Amino acid sequence: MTETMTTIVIRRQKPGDARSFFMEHEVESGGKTVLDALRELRDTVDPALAFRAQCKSGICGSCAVRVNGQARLACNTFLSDVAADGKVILEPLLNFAVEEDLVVEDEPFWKAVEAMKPWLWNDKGYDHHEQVLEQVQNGTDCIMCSACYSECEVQAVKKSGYTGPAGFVQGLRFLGDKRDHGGKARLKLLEQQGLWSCAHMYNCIDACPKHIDIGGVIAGLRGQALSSGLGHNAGGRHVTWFTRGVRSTGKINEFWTLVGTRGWRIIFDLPTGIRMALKGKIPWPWGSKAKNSGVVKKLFRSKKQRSR
Amino acid sequence: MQRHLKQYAYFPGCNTEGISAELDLSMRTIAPLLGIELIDIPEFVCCGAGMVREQDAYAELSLCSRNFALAEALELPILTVCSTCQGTMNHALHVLKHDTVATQAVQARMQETPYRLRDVSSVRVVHILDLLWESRDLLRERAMSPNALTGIGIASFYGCRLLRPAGELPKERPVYSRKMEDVIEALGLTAVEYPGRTRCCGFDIAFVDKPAAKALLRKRFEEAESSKADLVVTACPLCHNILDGMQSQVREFETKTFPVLHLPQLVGLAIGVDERMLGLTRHVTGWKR
Repeated sequence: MTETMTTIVIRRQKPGDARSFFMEHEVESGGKTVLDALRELRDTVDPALAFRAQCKSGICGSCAVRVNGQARLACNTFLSDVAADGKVILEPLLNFAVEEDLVVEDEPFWKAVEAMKPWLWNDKGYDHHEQVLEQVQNGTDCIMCSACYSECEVQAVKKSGYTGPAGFVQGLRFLGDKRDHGGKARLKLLEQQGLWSCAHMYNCIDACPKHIDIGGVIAGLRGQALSSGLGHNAGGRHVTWFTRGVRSTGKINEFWTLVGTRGWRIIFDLPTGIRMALKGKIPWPWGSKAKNSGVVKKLFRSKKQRSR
Repeated sequence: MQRHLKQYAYFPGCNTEGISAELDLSMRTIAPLLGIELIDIPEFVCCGAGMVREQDAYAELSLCSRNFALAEALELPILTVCSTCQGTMNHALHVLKHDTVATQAVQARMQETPYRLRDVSSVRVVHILDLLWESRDLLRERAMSPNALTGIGIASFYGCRLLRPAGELPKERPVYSRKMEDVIEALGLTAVEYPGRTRCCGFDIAFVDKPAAKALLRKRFEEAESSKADLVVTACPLCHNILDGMQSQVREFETKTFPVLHLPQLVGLAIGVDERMLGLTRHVTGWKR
């Protein structure tokens, strides 16, 4: 039987050396994971090949690396599933300094998550027989592999003040835990840690090896922030004004959404606005309306229901 | 009405009807040339764009359900020209097919309106890129040689919602899709290998976290420079708003500008359509280099 061969290409970098190079080697890929290939190459080709791994079972979160441009766990990624033209390219995670080869200095990830205080806020004690809610289960699924941190482009441009996808997941996890007394204070901290800076790029959802719906988590947190009377910032105002327009006419009112979001700061947008207006891109204040838009409001919760 | 034209329930989206009206104009111009008839549905409402979800998730699903019900009643697929609209609607389809709690909540809200979605599996949401890709042979036949874009390096900007999240994509558009590059090449044009092709333009935080948005946007143009692109084509009017409208804010000291085209404009220019019918004068960053 002919064995399928896969070319493994690994980005190498020695400690203290900013230069990198690529090592290329073929392995028989039948039934092997990326981690199997890494161990084989370390054992038979270069014992200095550096990578992190522990449980080999997709539970410890140690072995996250970039595989053909996407952060994944090495231990549960099969070569046959990811090879492109017979090649698998392995690189260290993004948004971290490289320590050696595929090992990164992961301190920034832990600091980012710790910034939202991911522990039970409770100094009164609690009972243990509460049923675990689905959102708590979602958050406890997280194995802290930092694949989401690697792929988040907002993380790349916000080195501080942004707890990141894993931090938000822990946020919803604790808010859903009846033993936690964080409530509005926890939401406020999440706002300070960049809750409204997520740009909806959804890289985190695709990177998460536990398939946590991180987009849903962030949407849920923003909804809870607004229901709790928070969201007194551009992000909260953007959602509020956007929704207001859709609720009343069935369409966004671009003018009032912009004005409502930016408030007095819209004066800084005037240069762009004038350039756009000169080209005919003028969002008129009266907006437009869908036919039979009167019934659209019936699709929304009432203000009273939102604040519960 | 010409019988051989394929009909679609046309969903331009709010931005395409507003600030990005040139996308609507160019789409209506090229549609008949591609054998497409756009059926306007005045009762279509905003898809919610992922924003309404953050205040009221079931409301966003219900908005999409209303649109789905309208298309279902006409037995037409929904055609979008906006990645965000198609992403939001494909997300809604995914939820309505798999989450019974959400489906029941949406049905309860829809009860108070005249719209009823009977069979969610009959609903199809396509993006203009999907149709253009299916029409590659026709594009190849109709492209003029040379045309206004011949010899120009074109960067394909998919943005976030066309290829993510992977689990919600229609099966004809997998996450590794290169449909935009294929369409560019079918038109006899030059598609560059653009590293930023599926990265973020920053639009969703453009007015919320401006420094972060500008940092993202700046990177997209640095990538365009390094890949020797001369022009960017986008699949989403929101991406176009920021790539075109805010380009000068992130390239204050650069002399090179990157015109940004919507997909229908790219097709129109390649097949020799009258440029006045493509709305090119509405671009902040002029389209001619």
